Amino acid sequence: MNEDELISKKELLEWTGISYGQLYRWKRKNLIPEDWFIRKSSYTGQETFFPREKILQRIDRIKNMKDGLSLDELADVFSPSSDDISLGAQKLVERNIVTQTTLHLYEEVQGSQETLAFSDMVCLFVLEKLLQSGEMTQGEGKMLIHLLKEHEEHFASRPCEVVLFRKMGVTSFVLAESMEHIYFDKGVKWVVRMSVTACIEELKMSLNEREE
Amino acid sequence: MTASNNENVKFSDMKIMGNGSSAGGTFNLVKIMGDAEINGSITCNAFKCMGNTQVRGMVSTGGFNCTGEIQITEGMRSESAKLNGNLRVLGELSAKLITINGELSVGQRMTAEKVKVNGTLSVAADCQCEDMTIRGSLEVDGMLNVEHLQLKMHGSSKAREVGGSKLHVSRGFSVPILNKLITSMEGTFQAGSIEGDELYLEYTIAKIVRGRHVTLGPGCEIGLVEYAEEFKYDPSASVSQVNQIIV
Repeated sequence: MNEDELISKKELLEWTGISYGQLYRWKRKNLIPEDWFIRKSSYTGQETFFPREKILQRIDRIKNMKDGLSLDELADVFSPSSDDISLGAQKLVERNIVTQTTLHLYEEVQGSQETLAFSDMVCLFVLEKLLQSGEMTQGEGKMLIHLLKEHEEHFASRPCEVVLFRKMGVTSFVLAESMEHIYFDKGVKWVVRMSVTACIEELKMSLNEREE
Repeated sequence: MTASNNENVKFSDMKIMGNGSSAGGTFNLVKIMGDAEINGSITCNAFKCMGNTQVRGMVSTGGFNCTGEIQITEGMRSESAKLNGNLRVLGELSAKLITINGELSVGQRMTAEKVKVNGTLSVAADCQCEDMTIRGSLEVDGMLNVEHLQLKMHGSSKAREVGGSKLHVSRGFSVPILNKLITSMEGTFQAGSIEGDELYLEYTIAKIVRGRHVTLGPGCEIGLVEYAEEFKYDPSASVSQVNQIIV
């Protein structure tokens, strides 16, 4: 990771105006993941750094949302685990979370289900986002569904990313916990890269919003 | 000794009086008076023990109430844990309310909401809780993340890193004359870094102290103090460097 992609704890507090108490409270409540605390030695001993983009975005969102929700409810939004949320398939369409086209495609592969578990919703949501990006065809979408269904326990417990790449017109997907150090040969083209974890957060947000 | 275990919804009790052993399992109430060896994990609604117990496995229970000496070779999970004596958990410990008179040592991470200790608490990894009151000594070989810490030292304490909002470290009362004779021995708190909003520290040796309101009492030796709003110190405190941070 690059030096300027990191932010020191001191800078972070100055930048965002939060206190040590808040930072540590959020850490205890798992609003800020443990592995974002990166310890490095400096001239004063050890200093803690954070991934700049992620932490600033996260703190911004916590600050914006914390008036409406309790810290525990917030922790729920940020945790990738699937809760006991389940919804009717048509409800998702009514709420404009997924389109009818996406749902059709999903049902073609998985068969139609009356209620969807949270992991199914995540799968649908990722599918929807990739289809809407215009980078993925419906046929490739089916591949994606198979991939996500087969490995749903992974993205429920860990941050994951999904990457679509092509070589000579042949498509492949990768579901990875970390894409930091992966190198392909020359002919491979990365088409889309999407964080499943971010999708889960977004999905939970939109589920929460409409419920009120 | 009676030990029974069934697969029905209603679980039976296990009672060990005198000397006994069990293979573990799921119970309603586990009650031990005397010496017991449990060779397996235990799940129960309440765990009571007076005497010596060794559990080779994990304990998860609704309430834990013990007098005596207990060793658990894996983790322990409980709603509340009350102890008079000595408890060693070699794995992780998580509980809502922990009340200890005696000694608690945890081999891995400890998570709790409220912790009250008269005696010694030592954690070999990170420790986090909302409210921690300690009269005695504290040893955390990792990060201590606590909303509100009240540490009254009897004997030495240390932590690698402390973070929280309100932290109060002071010396407990002891015999005044003896105290003067062996000052270096009697209760200091050693930490790598201490960070919080409101800090009051006595007899603390730390490399870095950062906070909004920082007050250093007698006997502090601090390398660097960074404060945002207020900094007060006792004349006997020694500080190498002080910076005010403008927020």
